[in-house]
Amino acid sequence: MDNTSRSHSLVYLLPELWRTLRTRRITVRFPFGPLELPSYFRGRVTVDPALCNGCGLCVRDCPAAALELERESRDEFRLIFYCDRCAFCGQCEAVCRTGAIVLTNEFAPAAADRNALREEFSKPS
Amino acid sequence: MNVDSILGALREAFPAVTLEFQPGLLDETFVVLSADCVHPAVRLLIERFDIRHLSTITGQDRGSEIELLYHFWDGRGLTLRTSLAREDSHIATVVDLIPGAAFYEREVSEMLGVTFDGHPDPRRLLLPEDWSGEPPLRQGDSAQFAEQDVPSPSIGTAIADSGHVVWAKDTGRMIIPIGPQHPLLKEPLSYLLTVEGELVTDESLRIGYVHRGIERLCQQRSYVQNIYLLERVCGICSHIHTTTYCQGVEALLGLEVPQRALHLRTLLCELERIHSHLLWLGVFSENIGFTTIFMYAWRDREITLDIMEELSGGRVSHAANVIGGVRTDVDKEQGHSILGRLEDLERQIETFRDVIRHERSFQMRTRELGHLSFEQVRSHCVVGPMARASGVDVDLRRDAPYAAYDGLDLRVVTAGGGDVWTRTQMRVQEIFESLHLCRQVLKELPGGPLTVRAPRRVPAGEVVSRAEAPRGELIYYIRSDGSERPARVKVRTPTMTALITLSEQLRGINIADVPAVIGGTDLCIACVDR
Repeated sequence: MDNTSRSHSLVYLLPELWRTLRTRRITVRFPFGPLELPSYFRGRVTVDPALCNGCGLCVRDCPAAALELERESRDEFRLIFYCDRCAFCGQCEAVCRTGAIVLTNEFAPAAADRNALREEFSKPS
Repeated sequence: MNVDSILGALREAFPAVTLEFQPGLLDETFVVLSADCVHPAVRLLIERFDIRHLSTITGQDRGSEIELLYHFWDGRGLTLRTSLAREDSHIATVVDLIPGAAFYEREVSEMLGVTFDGHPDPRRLLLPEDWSGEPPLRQGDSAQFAEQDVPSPSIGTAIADSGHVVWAKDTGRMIIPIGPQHPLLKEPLSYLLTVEGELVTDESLRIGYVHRGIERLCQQRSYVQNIYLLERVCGICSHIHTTTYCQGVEALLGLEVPQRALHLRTLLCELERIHSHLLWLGVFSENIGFTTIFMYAWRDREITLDIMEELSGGRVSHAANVIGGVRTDVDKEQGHSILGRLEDLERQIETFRDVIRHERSFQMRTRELGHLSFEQVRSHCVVGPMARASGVDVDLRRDAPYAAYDGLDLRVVTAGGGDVWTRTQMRVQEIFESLHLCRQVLKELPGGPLTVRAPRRVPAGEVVSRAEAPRGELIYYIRSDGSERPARVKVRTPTMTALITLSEQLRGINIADVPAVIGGTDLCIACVDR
């Protein structure tokens, strides 16, 4: 036991308490109030069918198999997004060459039925 | 490490055997030798060259044979490569020379069906006791293992077989199970503590409750998909896993990663280290009943989490690394704001440092506890802050600079105490060093592109990639067969080495000190289980 340390941690903790008491409330009122998110936030995936060219790179790279491509012909296809499988890594957005895929700031896409989390983006829409 | 003299000594020691010498990527040297030479070769490395640090043992199925790789480290990497027959594969254990190899051999044994002759404790490590059939990392040998039943008693039978009753009135001996679910543990693992009176006399450890088979999963996914899988090995140090993996794959591809990307990687690595150490400080303080520090440390950890979320879009899963660079960027204004917040954080950490240095009850709970000597640390191949707290001066950021560490001013914190108190002081000191590194990166962030284009197919080859995670040396072995998917990815996380020392730390201490010792070791169980 070190005899040189006679001081008590209260010496250090009391200023900390004083600082804490003077700080405004940090807890946000979510879900009753807004929640600010950084612009980089990776939330629910949206696809702009007008931009999508159906190359399928996103489907190939998706680590969670959350994207599927159903193709009727060269210009007729559907990109299906399964939000319940998505890991929100953003690889689809990063690999998309036309900028059709964007991860929005929507972060709480809960639903009672998992089919409600299936989203279709068809072209031509 | 002088590779030439080692190779010369090995040639001299085994004149009848043909030794093959293969220089590898990332400054690794491979030496190929036959299975019966491994034990004498390891003895030679220890006795002649004082190379004691065995990073891990990788086992892999190479089709015609089972291959074992013993990854040593002493300033640079040295790997002994040997092959075993598929039928009845066995090799002499090296646990008698390197006690720290015990867990590595147990893992290879259950994952590939290799028998290590003379292993003192050949129980299962990660797989369940009732697992039968083909070992998970072997393919096409189900017939050989159909009948085999590895004797591996469950925790319950282990108690019965040990001859101890759960409570013996005459000797006062009692067995106390801690875990898999216990308020002390944040993640599942199981200890059986044998207690005589108040003293812990024996300890038995069981892990594997959160084993997810990530190494095998990696073989079924593309290199790109594996980034996100390996990010989920650990929920605290996710970024360092992707960094180590990406730098390995980049070495295989021969890519030159832009400086800006390397600096941003480093920035996230250091922020993650601050976050990990603060998280640990909170958990540890709570373990010993110092809830005030727990609350404050976890509150201030939010500062780093907010910065990381702002930079990458995720609090824990950053998804910042890609093969060939990073996906995140920081502009001038953002950098300025981060520097301001880091200053706030530093002030808070100064408070923590003063409290844990001077608070008497904190000292009484942690001093002279869980002591590990310099020799114990070296023989158990312990890494990171656990090793540095016992006086072993090792830090891969300085010894084998990766990412942008080469150009940064880095002071490695070491201490000689080797007890829980030293470890706490040292980790808090490391936070200051990390803050110092973050500031340097933000102030001297070079311009330029963030990524280089990486091909999808990785040429055939193998690489050993190392990095300093918050808990110490993290090592990845990646082998490519030229396809879009890796043929083998081996991960050894730093906590694996810390777990081995727990039996040394726990024996002979008071039962009331067990939470302090387990907390002070900074375990990350999901990392170990993978």
